[in-house]
Amino acid sequence: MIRQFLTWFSRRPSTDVHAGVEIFRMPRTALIWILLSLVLVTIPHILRMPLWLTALCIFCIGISVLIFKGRVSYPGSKIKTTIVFLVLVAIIVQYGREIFSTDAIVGVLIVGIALKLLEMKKKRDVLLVIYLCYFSVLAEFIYSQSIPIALYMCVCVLVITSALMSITQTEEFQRPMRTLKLSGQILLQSIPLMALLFLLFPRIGPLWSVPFQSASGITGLSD
Amino acid sequence: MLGSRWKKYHHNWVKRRIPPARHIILNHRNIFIIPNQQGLGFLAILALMFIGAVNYEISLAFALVFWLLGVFILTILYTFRNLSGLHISAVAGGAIFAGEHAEITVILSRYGKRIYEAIQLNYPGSRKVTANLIDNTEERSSLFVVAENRGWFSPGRLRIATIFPFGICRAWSFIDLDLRCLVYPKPESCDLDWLTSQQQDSGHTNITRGTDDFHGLRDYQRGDSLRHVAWKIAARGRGMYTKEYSANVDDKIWLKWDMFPDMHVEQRLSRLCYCVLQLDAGGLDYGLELPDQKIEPAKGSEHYLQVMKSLALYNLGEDHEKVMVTGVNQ
Repeated sequence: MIRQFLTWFSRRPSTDVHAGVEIFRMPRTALIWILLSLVLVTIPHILRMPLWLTALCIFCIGISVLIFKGRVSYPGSKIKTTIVFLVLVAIIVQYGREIFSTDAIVGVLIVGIALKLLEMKKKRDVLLVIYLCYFSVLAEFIYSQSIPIALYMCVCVLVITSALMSITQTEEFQRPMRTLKLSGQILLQSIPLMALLFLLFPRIGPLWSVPFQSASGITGLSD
Repeated sequence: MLGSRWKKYHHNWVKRRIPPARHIILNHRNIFIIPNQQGLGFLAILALMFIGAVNYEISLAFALVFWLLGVFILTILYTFRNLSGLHISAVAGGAIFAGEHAEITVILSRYGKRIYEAIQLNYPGSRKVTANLIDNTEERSSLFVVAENRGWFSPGRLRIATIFPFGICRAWSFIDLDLRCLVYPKPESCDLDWLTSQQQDSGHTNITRGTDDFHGLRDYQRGDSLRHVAWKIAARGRGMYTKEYSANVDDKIWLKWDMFPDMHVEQRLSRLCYCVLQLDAGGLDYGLELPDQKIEPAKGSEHYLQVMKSLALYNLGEDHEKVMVTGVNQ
């Protein structure tokens, strides 16, 4: 019974399953939305990233367009493994000891999204790219919380949300302005909910900030 | 065991909640909605972002997480709205033969300003069709379902679902549009020559289809033997024709149940069906004699429909009879 439950739970919802193979044909407009959101969320990070990382992002965007047009096929598993390995080595060399710094983590995040563009075969892959774009909006707030950045990030969220909407739309009925308008409408309507949650939610301290060792003195009597 | 009992319970529950009707308007009573797997993924990403916000103590990150959570909550409403108020009706296509696809045309219509986008329709066993009502107020989609057995065919419950706008919630409904489609037995070719020779004892003879002498050509028809197709003409690309042969036969032909001894009920019906098709195409008088009923020889489309209907519904019991009275007139 537990096994039945587990198989039921792991079964994917019947989206577009035809003859056992899930087919997801991404609308052209959706690809444009996704690439646009990736470009928009990467722009503020560019100055902090090494140049080769930016170049890699541009390269991946170009390849994903070529894949979509059918000029290039999806890279095979060997090529993918090699690329990921090389990129990891490059990142380790680049950041050296600061591998766990915020800069390095954000770099890995951006590269991860860019590389994921090369294997957007299933709907799940596409969704991961979009969800990670939301994440990189958050990453920008680590560096700056100024009003211009906040406004710019609102635009990013609008574009990412439009990308999320466009993959559920039918190819022939994609109209970017309508998608943008409806996304904007939903985002505006959820601002009161955001305000409510923001005010009501209790502030929790950091979950695993590293405590400063010598801050607390040791008191007691010596023998 | 558990699965089948649950299925039965579910079936009855749905039947009570959404009774069959010819025209259904979707509303809060018949729409179900739940976050789907993508929605759970969305929540998982939000949880990760929340942990990030807590750790770095960034107000804007909190705001972003709560904003997206608000979007998630609103999406439940918007996904519901994308089905709510939709008018659904359907038309079943004409009668078909067993094993063929029944065509069901689902008509979605909207009244008012609200538009409906990316709505998926399917019957159990049919392919999914996506319908959009954006510029148009009515959308017709054809769905094809295989009818395995003869009799009144009901395609089951139409599943109408949508994940628009964000794919993180799924709203759906399964509705019974009270459709019936008459399914004739699958025609199986048999020797018409033999059939006609059984009836030689009567006085009048007439020329009809047989296999003796070449008589002419006519359009190819389902169930015709491939050996009789005029391949020379087909090869010239002029279409499929069947070569007709003539034989001397009785004027009025009785198609009898006993003509095909040592056969199952379905096999007999399939062969009788083939004979009816042939005789009707030949414009002859024919009658049908089944163990429980008798149709006097006649011709014409009305007679043809009557004979085919009794072949389709032979020995299918009370339920089918009832449906026959109240069902859609095909």
